[in-house]
Amino acid sequence: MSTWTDLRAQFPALHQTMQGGKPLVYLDNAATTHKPRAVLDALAYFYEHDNANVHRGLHALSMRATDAYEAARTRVAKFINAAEPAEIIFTRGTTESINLVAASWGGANLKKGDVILLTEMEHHSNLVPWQLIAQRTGATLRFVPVTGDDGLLDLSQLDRLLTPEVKIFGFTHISNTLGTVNPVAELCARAKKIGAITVIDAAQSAGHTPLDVRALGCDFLAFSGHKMAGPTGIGVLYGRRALLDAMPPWQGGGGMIASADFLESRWKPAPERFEAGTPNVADAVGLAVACDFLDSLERDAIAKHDGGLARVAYEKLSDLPGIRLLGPRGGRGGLVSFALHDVHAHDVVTFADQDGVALRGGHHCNQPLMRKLGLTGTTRASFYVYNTPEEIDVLVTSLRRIVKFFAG
Amino acid sequence: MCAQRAHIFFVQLPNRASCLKFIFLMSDLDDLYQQVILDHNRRPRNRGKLPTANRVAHGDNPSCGDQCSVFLRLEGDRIADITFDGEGCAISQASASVMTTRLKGKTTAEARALFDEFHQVISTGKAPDEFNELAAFAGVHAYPARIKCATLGWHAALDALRERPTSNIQHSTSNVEHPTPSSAKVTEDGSNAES
Repeated sequence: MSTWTDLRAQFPALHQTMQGGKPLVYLDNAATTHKPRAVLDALAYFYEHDNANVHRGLHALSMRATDAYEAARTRVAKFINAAEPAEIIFTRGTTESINLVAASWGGANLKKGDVILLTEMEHHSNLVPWQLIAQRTGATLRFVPVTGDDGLLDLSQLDRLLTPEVKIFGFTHISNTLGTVNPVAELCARAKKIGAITVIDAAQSAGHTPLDVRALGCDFLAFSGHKMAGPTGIGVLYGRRALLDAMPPWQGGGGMIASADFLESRWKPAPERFEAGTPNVADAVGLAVACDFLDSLERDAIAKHDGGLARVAYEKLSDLPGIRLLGPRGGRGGLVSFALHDVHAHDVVTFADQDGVALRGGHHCNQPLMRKLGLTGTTRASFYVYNTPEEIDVLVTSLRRIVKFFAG
Repeated sequence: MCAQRAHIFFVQLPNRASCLKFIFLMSDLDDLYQQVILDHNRRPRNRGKLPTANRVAHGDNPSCGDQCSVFLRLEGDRIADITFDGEGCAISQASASVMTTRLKGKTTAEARALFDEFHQVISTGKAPDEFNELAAFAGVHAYPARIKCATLGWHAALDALRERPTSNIQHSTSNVEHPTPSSAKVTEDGSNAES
């Protein structure tokens, strides 16, 4: 597709020279991606022309802003094939989306004796909110184990773990630490059999693979705009309409009440019920443009591109002396994660930075898994639509220099 | 300036080859990871639990997972012995290692003064007039994100000095689980045979 040929030109931030005159090699896309010109322009256009509060004003700008905001909701609904726009709640990001489910659905439905099932590969954002609600309600946490360095879920344990006490099952679609692509449709089907609600953390998949919430059969799905070429500060919680309608608000304020009195108020239906206060209108508009951008590339092609780069990187890195690669060798999301013998991940990142290569080092908000694997952290290279095979060569050369330096 | 520093390292380093390597490799990054740091990272001094410790404190850096426990035996107002244990990047481990060699025998006030001096080095990049190993960390100033790595052990040591003496070793930060004591053998001069 012709859109791919001038792809890098569309991302202004990629065209900068780092110290020593080296070009930027940005391989920290699992943390956040860069934004194409179309998204940046949409943000500027909104603030320059339509900026107003939504759902309140009767003047022209407010009506335009409201239309733009609601059009963004419709666009996002289409992006993940939700049944209707009302199933899309705008949040600050994946973390806030999961906190919303935990606080609202969990607060209303969980009780002592209930079990929250998670996996050992969850980001802290799909772990800590459940710990908080477990403490509040008396529910307990249970985990699907990770098999080891190959980073797969041990599905042979699922029958033992998915007991009738499990009321909600939360899992990541693509692991931010391992690159593992979990069989989410199968997990949803298994959970449904025992009547458990499912929550998918799609932070690492929304910008990389096609997503169809109805085909997956999930109840909730959460993702962030900034990891999919969109702005920071905007995220999405998809929830099945029937569930959302039965859930209490989790924050109170303007915009979410049908009527308010001094002593009590009545709530609007979803999605407004869950969007108290002035929403992040401009970034929602930017997110919709990011959806357009990704669909213009076709998400199947993006998955092939990013996963392809990760597989090439995995093979090239496996030649490095003393490297321990994590996650599955075959099919994986667009990232590689590894530990170098005797070189701490932060030292790797500082060194690579000197070569213009932006990596992430540390526990990736996945500390319990790191402990289980006997690691304090890993270095991660994560890819996106604008990355090239040549950039993997720059990465490998840089890592070879690091290994040599620390070997003395 | 460059030649002067190179000369300093020439006499400090045990091995001429590594010294020459240091001179020729010198760049911003090599400033950061110069041989003193690499050496202390590879062969940390005074690493492991101190059985006779009467003060202990634990420092950790939640953003990166680095951790460092400092054990010390205070006799009167003097640090009679000091060790550290933990895991983390080369900067944090080497800094803790160098620190233990510098703090042994110092009074509480001297230890604080030394930390002030060290902090000056890493925040300004200016080495002190009189050379000491703390100067090796001057390169850290160019990497603000790494300053917390260089000070992790120092903060734990200062916490330990502030703590009340105890017969049962307790950790100053109770919500942090202490890392398993290192199984590394500590040799008589206090260096690890193998880290």
